[in-house]
Parts: sequence; structure tokens; C-alpha cells
Amino acid sequence: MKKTLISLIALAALALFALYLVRADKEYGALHPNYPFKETSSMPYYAHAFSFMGFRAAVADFLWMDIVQYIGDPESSKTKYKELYAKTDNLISLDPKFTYSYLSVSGIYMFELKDSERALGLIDRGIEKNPDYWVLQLYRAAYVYQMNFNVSNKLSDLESAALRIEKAVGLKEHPPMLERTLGSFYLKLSELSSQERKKYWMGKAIRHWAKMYEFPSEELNRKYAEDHLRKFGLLNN
Amino acid sequence: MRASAEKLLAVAGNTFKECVRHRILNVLLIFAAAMIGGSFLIRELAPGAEDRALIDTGLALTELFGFLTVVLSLFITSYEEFEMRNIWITLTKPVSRRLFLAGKFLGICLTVTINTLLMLLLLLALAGINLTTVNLSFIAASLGILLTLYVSVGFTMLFMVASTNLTTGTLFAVLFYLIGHLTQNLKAIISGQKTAEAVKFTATVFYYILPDFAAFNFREQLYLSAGSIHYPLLFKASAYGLLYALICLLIAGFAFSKKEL
Amino acid sequence: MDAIKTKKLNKTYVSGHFWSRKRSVALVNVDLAIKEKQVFGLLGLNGAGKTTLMKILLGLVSPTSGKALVLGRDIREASNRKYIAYLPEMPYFPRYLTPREILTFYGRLYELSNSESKTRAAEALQTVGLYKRADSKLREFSKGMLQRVGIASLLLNDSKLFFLDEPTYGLDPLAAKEMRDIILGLKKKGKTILLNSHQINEVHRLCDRIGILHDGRLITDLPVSKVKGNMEDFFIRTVKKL
Repeated sequence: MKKTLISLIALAALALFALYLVRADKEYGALHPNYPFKETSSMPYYAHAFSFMGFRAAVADFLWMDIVQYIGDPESSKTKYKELYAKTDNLISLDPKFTYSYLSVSGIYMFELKDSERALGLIDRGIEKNPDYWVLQLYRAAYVYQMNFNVSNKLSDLESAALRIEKAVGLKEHPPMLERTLGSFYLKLSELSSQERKKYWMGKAIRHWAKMYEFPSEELNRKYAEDHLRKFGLLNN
Repeated sequence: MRASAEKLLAVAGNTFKECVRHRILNVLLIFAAAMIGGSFLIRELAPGAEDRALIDTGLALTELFGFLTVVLSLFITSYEEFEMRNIWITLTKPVSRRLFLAGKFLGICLTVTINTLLMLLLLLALAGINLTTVNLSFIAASLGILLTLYVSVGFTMLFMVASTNLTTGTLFAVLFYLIGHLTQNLKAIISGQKTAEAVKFTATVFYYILPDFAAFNFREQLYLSAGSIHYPLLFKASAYGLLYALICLLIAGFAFSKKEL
Repeated sequence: MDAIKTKKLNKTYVSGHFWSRKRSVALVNVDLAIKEKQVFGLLGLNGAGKTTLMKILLGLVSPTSGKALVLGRDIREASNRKYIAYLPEMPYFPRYLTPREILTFYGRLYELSNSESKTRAAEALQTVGLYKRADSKLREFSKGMLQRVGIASLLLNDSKLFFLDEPTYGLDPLAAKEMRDIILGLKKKGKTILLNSHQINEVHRLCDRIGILHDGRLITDLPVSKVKGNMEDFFIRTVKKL
């Protein structure tokens, strides 16, 4: 009986120590800002348990499944997905590298809930944690394009979108289509800008087409560049 | 020296045979395979993240079932040895207790390695069927799982030998496994500015005594480094894991040499 | 040389915690000397300390005080166990191995080569009548069959000293006779045997000397020829006197 009691006390002490270490998890996350895996207090208890056991990436996948189920539930759309942001926040706090979640959830906010601020906010969070992931840059540019393309007094947003696409084009493995999109952005900006800035953006467009012509990432890009250079009389036969 | 090596291999082989043929462990392996096979269905529930859901879930299940294999193998063999006393005949032969324990450690590690590799092969097969890309980081993650399990064999063996009761030893081992995943949080306490010196010292001592499974968690470290493998990191972690397991084995050997059978 | 020699051997089992220790005395000042080539029968009531004495002589348990030498050496050194063989009461083996595998394993522990171990294992199984079941799993074996496997393990090496704890336990009459024949065969070969048994008549038939342990003390140690009358009566008389 006494041996059992001693064993139980030792086990209880070990269990309490484990709980103490769980509490220290937040301190660890705070002290190591680059450590990506941070549990939020609103995460379900099972997510905490498995997360602490070192299965954070798998827990993030299950949180994503929960979000997918939530989005697919007709009841959720009636409440305008009021829990969506909190669920997404749990997921991207735990695993900021879960890039697909930024893309799809921001899309819902942008196109379904018409909440462009939240959509851009999510994308910006994604870009901050995944600076090398060009798709996020592209999405941001696309959202800005969607919001402001026909409104001339939002030129600054179009310029920042162009800069983002420029960044995306500078990254490895960007899709060739992005280069054509960038060319179109420069052209549009030169059309919409003031006289001083017109030359600036036109210059950028020409240099960009010349680069595409000389170092095309695919034949379609070369054709595109060739067409534009000929159109502006910059290419001799 | 050669005779000792022969005996070591004989004990290891014996332990391995007993474990792989044991019905309970076979059932566990089948169940693990079924669960990992089930992660095939999880893909359907995670659109946009099918590949990572399959691999993450598969790797998590492999580690969990691997640990269950460790605990069950040691419990079954220790039960037969100490409760049913089949160890009496063995230890009255010219084999030392430490050598016997070392052979048993090797045998259990081999069992765990085979089982884990089978689960990982199944996962790879599922990845292949679903055209999921698997790169070298998968190998690193698998190595991390094996290191975690080898360290688990070490401390589970120590607890089962040192405790008077196998069930208590098992419970201690399970708690140690859980704590091992949280040990890195002691670093926060150690480096905290408001922490008292005495607490820092105690935390440091505990940090070195407890296993740090975060060091083997290449699954997550690979996400940090965007999938590239740092070979010095792998080497350091492997050395740490093997050293920790060896220390557990040495302590277990000492405890076992004093144990009344 | 004495095959087994103990001097003032004491063993007290201690259990409980430092604030409430329980002591249970198993052996008290046991002085025993068994000469080589002798068959010694150890008798005693349940709990007399026979198994404890055997376990100390086999190195499974350490004495609290006193000395125990087996074949002139400290048995706790692994290398000194090369020429001893042990059969426990109710032997138990790993359930999913076969007799051939477990005996080959024991042979390798005796530092025999793999092929030699296999050969000797086959021979030993032949001797105990289990050759046809050599590759069956031990979990399928009855108590008596497991006992035979234990007996087979005694025959692997050219051991000089045998510790037998209830060797005929669980055996049918034919198998028990075969066991006795094996013991007599070993005796003829000049082996030393320490036999622990409740089968008084068996002890009478097989042994040269007997010793009676009672409450941890060796109260009698004499040649079987000096036992007057029936061995069973002698045992009961001796124990009841105390």
C-alpha cells in the first residue's frame, strides 16, 4: 500500500511538472520570435495536447480541416462566417507556413464577405511570415487590382501592387504569366499617371519587355514582349 | 571480446524474434498500418493541403505507434523475465546482467526500427499513389522519429528495471515521453530575466537530465528552414540521442546488477 | 575441492521504507560443503529457505553476509558460470520461440558456436523425447513438456555442477523415471548435483548426502546411508523436534 502511495506521489509530481512545462511554452514562444509554432488560447484542448507533444504541423492540418468543414456548413454562411477569422488566426498562429489558408480564407473575405481590409490583412500576415512565397504577393496585387483598377485616384495602390508583382517576378519559380501581368501593369500605370511619372513607368515597361525578349522564360513571353516592342517602334525587323 | 559480442548478438536476436512474433505487437502493427492507411482519407478533408495532411498525419502516427511498440515490447519481455522468471535460466549462464540488458536493448531497438520502417514504407507508398512529392526532408523526419524511439527504449528500460512494479515503470516512461516534448520550454525559464538564480540552476539541471525531443523534431524544424536539411544539425542530434540512450542503458545496467531476482 | 562451499551465509530480505522497514530472515549462518561428484539433496518445509540458498549459489540474489563459492569461485562473475547448469521449479520460456531456438540460444551463451549449439540442441531434444516438436512454439507446450525442455537445457554443455529445483515437478510417471535416469547418468559421469525436492523417496534413491533446512538454518547434513529407517519419517521427526 505504501509503495503504491509513493509511486502515485512520484507520478503526480511528474505530471505536475509536465503541466508546468506546458505553461512555460508561451514564455518560450515569446522569447524566440522566429519560432513559428505558437498556440493560441482559443485553440481546442486536443489541439493543445497534440501540439505540445510535438505534432504541431499535423495539428495545423486538422485545424484546416475544421475550417474547411466550417466553410462548407450552410449554417456558417448564414452567420457570415463569424468564427472564420478566429479559427484562421488559430491556424496561422500555430503554423504560419500554412500558406494555402491565407489564400483561400482571404479569398472568402474578399469576394464573398466583401471585407477587403481583412482579406488584405491576412495576405499581409502571410507575406510577413513567408516572404519567399510569390503566390501571396500575386494575390495581394490581384486584390488591389480588383478593388481599384478603374479608379484613377487610387494610383498609389496600383503602384504598390506593381511593386509586389515585381518582387514576385524576382523570386525563383514564379510563373512566366506573372511577367506578362507585370508588363501590363507598367503600361496601365503609364497611361494613368501624371506627365512626370508617365515617362518613369514607360521606361520600366520598355526595360521589362526588352529583358523578356532577350531572356524569355517561355516562348509566349518572348512573343508578348516582341509584340509590345514592335508596337512602340522599338524593334527593327 | 568476441565471445561477448556473440552473446550480445544472441540476446538481441532472441529478443527480436520474441517481439516480432508476439501476437499483441503484430496486432498493434496491423492497427498502425490501418490508421496510416486511413490518412489517405484525411486528404479528402483537407483540400489545398492534401499532401502535407497525408505526410504530417502519417509521420505523427508513426511516432505514436512507434512509442507504443517500445512500451509494449519492453512490458511483455520484462513481464516474462521478472514475473514469469524466464530470466533465471538465462542469467545462470555465463552472461553478465549488463551484457544481457545491452543485448535486450539492441533487440528492442531492432524491433522498433523494423516496425517504424514498415510504417514509413506504407506512408511512402500512399504518397506515391497520390503523387505527393516527398523529398529528402522525409528521410530527416524519419531519422528524428527513430532517434526519439531509441531514447524512449533507453529510459523505458531504465524505469522498468529500476521500479519494483512494471506498471509503475510504464507510467513513468509514458510521462517521461510527454515531458520530453516539453523540455525545450525550460530554456525559456533559464533565459528569463525575472527568473531567480536558484530556479535557473534547477531548470538547467532538469534540462540536461530530461530528454529533449524537440532536438529530434525534424518534421517541424524542416518547416522552419523551408525544407532544407542541415547536416551538422542531424549529426549533432544523432550524437545527442545515442549518447542519452547509452547513459540510460548504463544506469539501467547498474540498477539491474543490484536487483534481487 | 568442494564444488559448493558456504560460510556463515546469511540472507535477510528487507522491504518497506526507511520509516517502517520489514525484515524477513531467509537464511541464518548456513555452513554447507558439497564435495565434487556428490549428489546432495536439500530438504525442507515450504519457506525454509531452500530456493533462497539456491538463488544465492546461482548469483541471482546476493547474501546479506557470509561467503558462497561455487567450484571455488565467486559465482557472481559471469565467466565462472560456464560449467554450471540450472533447472528451476516450473521453468518458463519465451512463448513465441521454439525449443530448438531457445536451446540454441542457451548454447551460444555457453560460448558454443552456432552450428555446435544447434547440434547439441537437437541431441538434447532427442534425449528428452521432444525432437519431433523441436520447431513448435513453446506456448503450445504443456507444463510437463516445458519441464522436459528445461531438462534438455541441462544437457547442452559439459557442465560440472547441476542445480535442480523440483526436477520431476509436473512430469508423468514415465517422464519422471526418465528424469531420474538422467540424474543417475550424470552421477555416473561424476557430476555434482544439488537437488531440491519435496519427493523424499526420490531424494533417498538419488542422493549421497542430504541436508535439511528449517527456518533458514541447516539443521542436518549427513550421508543418506546414515539415515535410520524411512527417509520421510526421519525428515518429519527432525523437523518436529524443533
